[in-house]
Amino acid sequence: MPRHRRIAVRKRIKTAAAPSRNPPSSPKRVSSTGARPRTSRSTASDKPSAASLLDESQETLRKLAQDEALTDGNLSRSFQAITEACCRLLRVERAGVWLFTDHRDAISLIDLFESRLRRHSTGTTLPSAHYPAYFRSLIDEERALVVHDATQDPRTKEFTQGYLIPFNIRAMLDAPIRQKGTVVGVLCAEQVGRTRRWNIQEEQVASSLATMATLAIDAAERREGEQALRDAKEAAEVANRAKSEFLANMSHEIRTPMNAIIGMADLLWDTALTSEQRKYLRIFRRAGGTLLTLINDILDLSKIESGHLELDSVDFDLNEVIDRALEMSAMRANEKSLELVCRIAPDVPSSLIGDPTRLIQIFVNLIGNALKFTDKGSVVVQVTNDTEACAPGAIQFSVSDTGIGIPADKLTAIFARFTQVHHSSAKQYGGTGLGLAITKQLVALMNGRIWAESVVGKGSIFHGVVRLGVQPVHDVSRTPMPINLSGTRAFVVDDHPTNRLILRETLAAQGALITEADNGAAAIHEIRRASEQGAPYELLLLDASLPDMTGFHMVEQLKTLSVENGLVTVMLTSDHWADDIARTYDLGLGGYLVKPIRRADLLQTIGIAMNRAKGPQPGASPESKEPEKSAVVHPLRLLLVEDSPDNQVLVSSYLKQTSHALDIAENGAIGVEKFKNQPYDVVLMDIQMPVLDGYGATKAIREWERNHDLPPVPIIALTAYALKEETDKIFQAGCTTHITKPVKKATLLEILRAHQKRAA
Amino acid sequence: MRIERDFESIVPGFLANRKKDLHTLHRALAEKDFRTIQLLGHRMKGDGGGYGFDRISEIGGVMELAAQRQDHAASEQHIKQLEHFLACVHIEYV
Repeated sequence: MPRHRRIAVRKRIKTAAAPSRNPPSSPKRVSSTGARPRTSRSTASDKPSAASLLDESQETLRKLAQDEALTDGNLSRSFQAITEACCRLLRVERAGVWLFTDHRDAISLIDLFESRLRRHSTGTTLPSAHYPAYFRSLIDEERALVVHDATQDPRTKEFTQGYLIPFNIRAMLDAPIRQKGTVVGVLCAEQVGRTRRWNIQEEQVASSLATMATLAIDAAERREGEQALRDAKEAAEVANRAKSEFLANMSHEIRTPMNAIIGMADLLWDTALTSEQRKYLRIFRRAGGTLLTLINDILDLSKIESGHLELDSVDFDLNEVIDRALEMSAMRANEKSLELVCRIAPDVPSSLIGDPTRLIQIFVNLIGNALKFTDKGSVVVQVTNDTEACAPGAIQFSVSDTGIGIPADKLTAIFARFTQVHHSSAKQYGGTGLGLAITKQLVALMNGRIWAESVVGKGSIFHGVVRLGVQPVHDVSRTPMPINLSGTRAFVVDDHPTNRLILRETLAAQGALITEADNGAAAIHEIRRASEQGAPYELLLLDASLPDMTGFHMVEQLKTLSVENGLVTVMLTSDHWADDIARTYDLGLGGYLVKPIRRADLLQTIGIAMNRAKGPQPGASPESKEPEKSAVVHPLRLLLVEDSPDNQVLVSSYLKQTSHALDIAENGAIGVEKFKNQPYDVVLMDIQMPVLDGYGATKAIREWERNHDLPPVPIIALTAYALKEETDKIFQAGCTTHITKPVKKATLLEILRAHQKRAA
Repeated sequence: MRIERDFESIVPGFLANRKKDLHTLHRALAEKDFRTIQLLGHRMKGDGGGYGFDRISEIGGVMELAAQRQDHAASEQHIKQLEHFLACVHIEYV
């Protein structure tokens, strides 16, 4: 028997006024809902016909089913209504509801209605040990116990002295009350003064009323459960608010000294340290960073929950927000070789009013989550107008991935705090488990909501809607500089349909005429056809890794076919991007873009590439593209491991006009030692060297990083080889990318510039 | 030969080093020390182009291969090619 009902029953038994065999002098009269007044003379004797019994019982059951006492789970009033109905329908003087006690070794009388006295009472308990035959029958028999002569029937005659004679009971119709297949009690209709032959209709009426009793018990249990939940929820909410306030204060108090600790560790990092000290300090800084992230998350969440987080309401550009979120996520995507794609529908207003910082946080959280649980494939961000809201500034977004997916029963729970679906792999995927909880709350603060759908093994889609303000006057200066591509025949080659869609939309908006292909062979065929027909393409946007060949391979084929004259090529690259940039320059292509593609970057790069193709223009060559940026912002600490003094001199001269700091090691062994003792942002590694070659040195560095739990520093191999097996060997050793010697100044600076952007 | 003015300060040193290499190469060839020839050829291959001397890279590359297969005659020929190039090269900084 479920626990809460046992409690209810026990309570009732304890508070019973008096047992029915010792009726109180002035019995409390209770009239149940829907009971018709009836004289005592007519109750027990007028036996209705089968047809009228059926009608009357149906009407009574219908009323009972709608009775508030039953639906509200008021157990005592429900039982009173049932016993009254039983007396009325079956024309008996006594009807009672008995329920088993906790140990199931007795039944207790929960409600007895005596129709002649119109009185309800309660209280008697009958132990099963005293009445074994009756209890056996009650449990074993499928149907009601139909007892025409109670003192003679073997099932009931054991009641004769103790129960039947004192109350002058001669016949009984006992319908078991069952709950989930178990007999939990019995509804007893008792004929006083004479034996009685019960007919089948009467048996059915008793059974139906017993079913009503079951419904009443179920409803009462539900009510108790709900009440317990309500109480618990209220208590939890009060406690939660208090906790959030406390956390918000505490987190703030912790953050202040944490920042000092981390800041001091950073300063210490730039001083002379022994290898051992540096090792400890690395762990120290890393742990400090992790702790600060966690504290920030907790602070955010507790601020939101205690109502202390107020959103900004400032003008911002949606494209910039999305670009920033993509920029912050791009490195992770490239590391995992995942395609990160974003599409903003052209009709979405870009000049909005709201909290851009928190909006970036929402996107970064969702994209980060998608990247975390995806090992292969793509993460696609889509932004459209919320068509259901029909209001300007109501934005709908989605972040879909091709990752491990979320089981259907966890789709709601993932938005709870500290919840991770994949507990077993929590270590593998990491994270505080607060990201989605914060995201949900932030979205709610923006008058929106967030939800997820997923297929395990296929991927997940997180959807969200937010309501933002729209700026009354469109601020033209915010939009990326438009370029005039009207009439330009552009060709887009990318196997990812969303990427093609973005490129198509962006270029079409500038007036270009766009043709697409999703593989290299088809693209070559089309470019050749167009060239032969005298309408060659002018602009080619080319994915560096196509399903059938690399973008570079495709360009080489175009060169062989002599159909690339006048064609400006912009290479779209993601993983091995540093390598791809080098090749872009080696092949003399128009430019490159590192995915995810941002609209402003795309237009700027195309603009520069097209201008350059038109003729030499000051400031348009790759060497002079934003040189001041690399010279001023975030100089890199570089380690060149190279045995050739001439190449050392050459690389030093390349870097002379930049602010990068260069350190040189003459061979791999010295290089590894230097790496262990000082922090570097990028290592340039020659491969053929005496003492320890580049493969050995790279392996040693990677092993040391692993042993010290450090993230891998980019190692760029410098090699005179261009053979595939050599390249494979370089990557197997642990190099991030490679540049073929001779190293060109523009190539090296461009790669370092790309690293700076990532490091920023 | 036209070389970018950026390299003006480092090119003479590079060429002087190649002349030193010539002595080393001749001696190595006499001693049949193909390892040294291979190493110097490899370095020239890697470094020449960076300074604008694609011809030196080219010679270095074939010299490395010749030394690798311990081909005395070919190695000698490539050393002579280098000697000839260094003797004739005229540089104009642009």
